[in-house]
Amino acid sequence: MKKHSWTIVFTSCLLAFTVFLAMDTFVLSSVYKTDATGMNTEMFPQAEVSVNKVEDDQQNENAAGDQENEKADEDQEKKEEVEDGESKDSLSGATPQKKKSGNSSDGESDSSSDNKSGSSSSSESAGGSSGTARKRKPGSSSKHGSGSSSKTGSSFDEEEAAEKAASVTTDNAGSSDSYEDENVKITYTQYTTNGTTIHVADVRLSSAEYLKTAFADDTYGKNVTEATSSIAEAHDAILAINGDYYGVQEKGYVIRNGIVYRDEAGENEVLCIYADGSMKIVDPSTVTAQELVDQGVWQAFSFGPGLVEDGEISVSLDSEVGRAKASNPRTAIGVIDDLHYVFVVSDGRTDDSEGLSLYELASFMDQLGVQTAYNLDGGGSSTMVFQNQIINNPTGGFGDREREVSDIVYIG
Amino acid sequence: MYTSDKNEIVHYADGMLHDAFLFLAAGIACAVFGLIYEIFSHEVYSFYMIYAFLIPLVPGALLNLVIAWLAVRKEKQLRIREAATLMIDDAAFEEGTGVFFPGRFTRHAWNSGLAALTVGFLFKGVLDIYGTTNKLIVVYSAAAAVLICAAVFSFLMSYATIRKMHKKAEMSAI
Repeated sequence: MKKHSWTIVFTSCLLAFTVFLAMDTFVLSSVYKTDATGMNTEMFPQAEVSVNKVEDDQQNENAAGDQENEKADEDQEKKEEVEDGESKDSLSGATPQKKKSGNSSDGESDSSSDNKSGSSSSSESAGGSSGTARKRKPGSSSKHGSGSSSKTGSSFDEEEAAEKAASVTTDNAGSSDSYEDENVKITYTQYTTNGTTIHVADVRLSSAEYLKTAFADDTYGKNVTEATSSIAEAHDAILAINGDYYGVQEKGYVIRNGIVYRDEAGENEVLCIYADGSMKIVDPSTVTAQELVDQGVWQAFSFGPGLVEDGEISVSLDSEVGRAKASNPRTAIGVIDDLHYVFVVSDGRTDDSEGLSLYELASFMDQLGVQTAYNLDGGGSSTMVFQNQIINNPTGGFGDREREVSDIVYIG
Repeated sequence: MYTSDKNEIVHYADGMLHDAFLFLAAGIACAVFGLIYEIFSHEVYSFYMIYAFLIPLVPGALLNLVIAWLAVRKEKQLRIREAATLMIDDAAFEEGTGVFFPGRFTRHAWNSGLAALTVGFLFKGVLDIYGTTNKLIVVYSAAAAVLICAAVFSFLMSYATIRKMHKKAEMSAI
């Protein structure tokens, strides 16, 4: 016994420390700030415009020769006829409309939230694409795309990856649904491409103020988690996706609703959503979190990588091969133009849906026409909730449950 | 060559062989664990997880095998020469195994360092694949560094001490 005393003592210590570390990493929660629901809305200008006004302007710009836009204009005209006599100015405190149309929306909704009391409709379409999605050849605008001949691993077939990415297109739009009120217009479309189901929410806002974030249990801390749908329900979210799961990272800026929660820079590039609605990917080593807020950053996420920058795919086929080439559930957010966003969640890890690599996701978002797109926490965390319904197929929890996450991005 | 007892050397070699097989088993266990973990990691790979098995295998099992082989060879040489004890009264002479072989403290420190490093690699791999971090992970590498340095220092000190005593004995004989 004495002969093995050192071995026994050391092994016990090693085991105890490992158990503690595992608990500290995955189980034990540390609350840094309770009631983390504050919003720094001072950064928003008082003059806001209705989402319908924004949409009108954009539709007028793109109307010529575009059948989809013509149809949208007709819809808009009908809408305006319906709205005639009612207040159209969102700043005037108008009562939001309550109307539903389509197959899945019989009757009026009874939401208690102003923003949730808009109109919604659903439809089935095939072979089309929603909104202003552009048709690009996948990878055609890549900075490091299929033209690159370098390989980082012998098991990685770049040509195969490029071919696979090229087959991920926005051609096969399936079921769709929509929501609209005076400040928010959301069109949800489900795509099925290359064996993967992709959920896309096309979001138009009258102000970036409606693009919000929320913490699990309204608490900022480590290992404080809650299901995306639960957080969304607690905040009356119209649309919600999982965020960057800041709780499992020790570094990386956390700026939510205009408030700095973590000012320690991480290694990942940061997605900044500004109060004016613009979106930019920044290097955290060049600027502090407080400087970002001073510059008008409303939300900042530290996950990444950036998928599309300045309208060009910014991930390569062969970079970060271990993570990038794997087909997985993914969550991403992108901006098309002023106050016009897309929330994208791809299903994966199931027999029905394989999932996407980062490059495939970037290629898909590029085809949606985004100027900037950013990858959020994916895998089992990927969840999209639209009008209190989980519309994707989360694979992260035990059984069929969703994985609990630290935070969400939502419209509400 | 310094020794007092051929049987002690055989015993020592058996001990080293025993340790070598333990490290071999640990290396195989690490490889299997890493393989299974990577299979279910949805193609998210970690350098640390993949190569953790090399730590018990190379500086663990392989090194112990080499030392065991040296000990066996030494025992054979002694048997042939039937040499008498040359040095017995040195402080670093542990269990009569000879100074050029690592003593008990050295072996404990070395093995413990490798164990800490292996567990640290595996845990780092788990964190990488999960996509999280923990500052405390540095404790593994720090503990491993301290223990391995202590082992090397102990071995070198023993070697230097015996060399010094051997030279002193030679001078006395002259």
